[in-house]
Amino acid sequence: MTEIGNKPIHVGEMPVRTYSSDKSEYGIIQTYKNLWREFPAAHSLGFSFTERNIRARYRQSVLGIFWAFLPPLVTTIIWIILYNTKVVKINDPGVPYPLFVITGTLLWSIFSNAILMPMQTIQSNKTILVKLNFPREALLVNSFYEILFNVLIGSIIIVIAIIAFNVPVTFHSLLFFPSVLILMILGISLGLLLLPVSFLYKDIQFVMPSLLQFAMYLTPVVYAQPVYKGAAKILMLNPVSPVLTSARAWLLGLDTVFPLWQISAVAFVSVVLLLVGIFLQRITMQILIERMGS
Amino acid sequence: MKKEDEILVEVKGLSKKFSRSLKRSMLYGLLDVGNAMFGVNGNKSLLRKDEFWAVKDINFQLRRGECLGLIGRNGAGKSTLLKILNGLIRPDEGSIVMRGKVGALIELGAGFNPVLTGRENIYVNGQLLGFSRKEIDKKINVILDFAEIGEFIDSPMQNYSSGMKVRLGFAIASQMEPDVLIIDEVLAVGDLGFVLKCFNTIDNLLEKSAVIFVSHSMPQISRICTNLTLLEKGCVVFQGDDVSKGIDLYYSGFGNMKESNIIFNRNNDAELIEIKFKKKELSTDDNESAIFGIDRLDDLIINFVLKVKSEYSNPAVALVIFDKEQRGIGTCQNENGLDSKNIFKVENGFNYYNVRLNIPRVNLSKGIYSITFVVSEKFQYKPILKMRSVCEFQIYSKYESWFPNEFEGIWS
Repeated sequence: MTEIGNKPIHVGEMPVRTYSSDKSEYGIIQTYKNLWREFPAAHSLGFSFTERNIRARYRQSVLGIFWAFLPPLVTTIIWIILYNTKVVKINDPGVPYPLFVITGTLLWSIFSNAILMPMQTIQSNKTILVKLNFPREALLVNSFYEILFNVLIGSIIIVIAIIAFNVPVTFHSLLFFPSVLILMILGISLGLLLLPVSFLYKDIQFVMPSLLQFAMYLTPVVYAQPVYKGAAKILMLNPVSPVLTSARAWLLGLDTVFPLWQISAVAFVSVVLLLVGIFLQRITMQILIERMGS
Repeated sequence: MKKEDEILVEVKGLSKKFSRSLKRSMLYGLLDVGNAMFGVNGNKSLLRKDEFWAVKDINFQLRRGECLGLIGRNGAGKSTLLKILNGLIRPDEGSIVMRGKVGALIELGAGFNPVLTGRENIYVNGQLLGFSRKEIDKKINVILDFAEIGEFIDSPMQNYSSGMKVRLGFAIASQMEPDVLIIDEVLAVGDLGFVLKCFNTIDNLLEKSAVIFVSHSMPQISRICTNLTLLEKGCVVFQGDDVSKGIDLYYSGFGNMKESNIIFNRNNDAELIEIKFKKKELSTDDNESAIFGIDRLDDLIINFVLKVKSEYSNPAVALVIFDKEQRGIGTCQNENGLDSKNIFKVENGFNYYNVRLNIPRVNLSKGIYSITFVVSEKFQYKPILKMRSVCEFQIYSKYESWFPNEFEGIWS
């Protein structure tokens, strides 16, 4: 059982929980202590949620898992056509373009998936959120595993593509996995930080798909990392670019444009944002639940 | 400290406000989020525009073995209070201390997925209630036995009847061993055997825990609860261990159901002109309470004036007594029909009857009852007139009983 600001004191063997209007109980250290204590239960519940959702989802469809990858595959096909018909001019990325685009769009879909996932899990679990007191982090864990599941399937597609295009795989390629993890954490924590606002104001939910579409074209997904000039230099700040391009570069044996420190910095910031996001979620969930009705 | 003396729930000055307007509710939510983020307490005891107190200044203590009944009309704040007690939402004022494991029987079968089998669903639902996977592994056989749904356990839940879902849900929930138990009207579903089983389980839990029980069913409240809190518009109107007094207060809040309903009246062949109770000579409160009341085991004397078309000789009259939950409790009927000596006037083809009915030593239990008035050609044959709630009366009794009848026994 998770509570925001409750102080678990143990009298004998009885856990004591207090709920009060006093905000001073929101102490940061206390919150993380509670998180640490409750995490095992949250993790196991979140895992069960994921198991349930995945089983339920694919038990009812013939092509099952395939559907999750239709959108990035469609994007890939579009870009392969645009590239091959020379409608757009894209510099040679160094590997067969289809492979380049497949990896890019799948990586991007992991990120965009991760950004949307916290909101989605909250929405689909509304009925139990307003009725039951269970560790709220379970939903976060659920988000994480569902994305991980998608990553797994995505990886299979990428592996097939790598074999098909006969691209050599090196020891460096293993770095692909930690970078995917960074991408996931970055996405989830951004989604988590947006959660209080996007829950209260539907506007965020309406704008997110278009915004993500737009952001995709500002990120070197279907094209190689360009050298930005002038005002475009602001795009250098795009935190997704270094992780995404490097993940792809490592996997396909391309030259990495970004120095390692930059990726480490993104990783560090992602983890910090995740912790902040969890804290925010812990102190705001009750305010949101108040507004969910019953 | 003795186990029975442990105070498990302590609620002090609890208040919660809500906003009536959606837009403002969203805005306040955002402000609250901001305040929470920066640890600002804000002035929570003031109402902002469009806000109202959903729950105001609630105080109580609950020990192990005690059961607090929470009653009140719809919108009185019961569910809000439960949500705060369950830690789902935060109070704006006051505090709650809960000692021990908290269990909630609020939504049975939460998180059930229709595509998955019952067995698969047990794991998710069980963990939602706070069991670990290992505990469920251990308890699964008990759960399956309790639920009694047989081989259906391995088929998808969409093939279950609603009763079966509830059975499974309750079977899982019944495995909880809480110190504090919160129950929100989830009972009385499923078939009779199962309801009895549920009550047995709850009776067992009652002894071992402090229970907070919300219900609209006063018989259930009076059967289970040791303490009672009556809420009205978020405020406590009554609180104490005199459960029956609280229930009376709750009932009287609904006023009298005076407007009598004619369910049918064949060709307007009959009309009930007047019906009233005969009060005791030395009635102390002669006018105060709107509802006529007698003590249990007093005689109930009813006078009524009735006109019936003269073509019906000796029409039969039956008075059917219903309780506040509209359960039929009993009936009083005259087999031979009204005697013609009761006719005091014949006018326009109608016989006017003046009747005095004495029901001696009424052994109903405490509560409010209403009378449905039926006139028929002959005893239990061809009804002419049927009117619902023509009048109501109240039975005073020292004891609260879940059962509508308390028979006098001669024990030897």
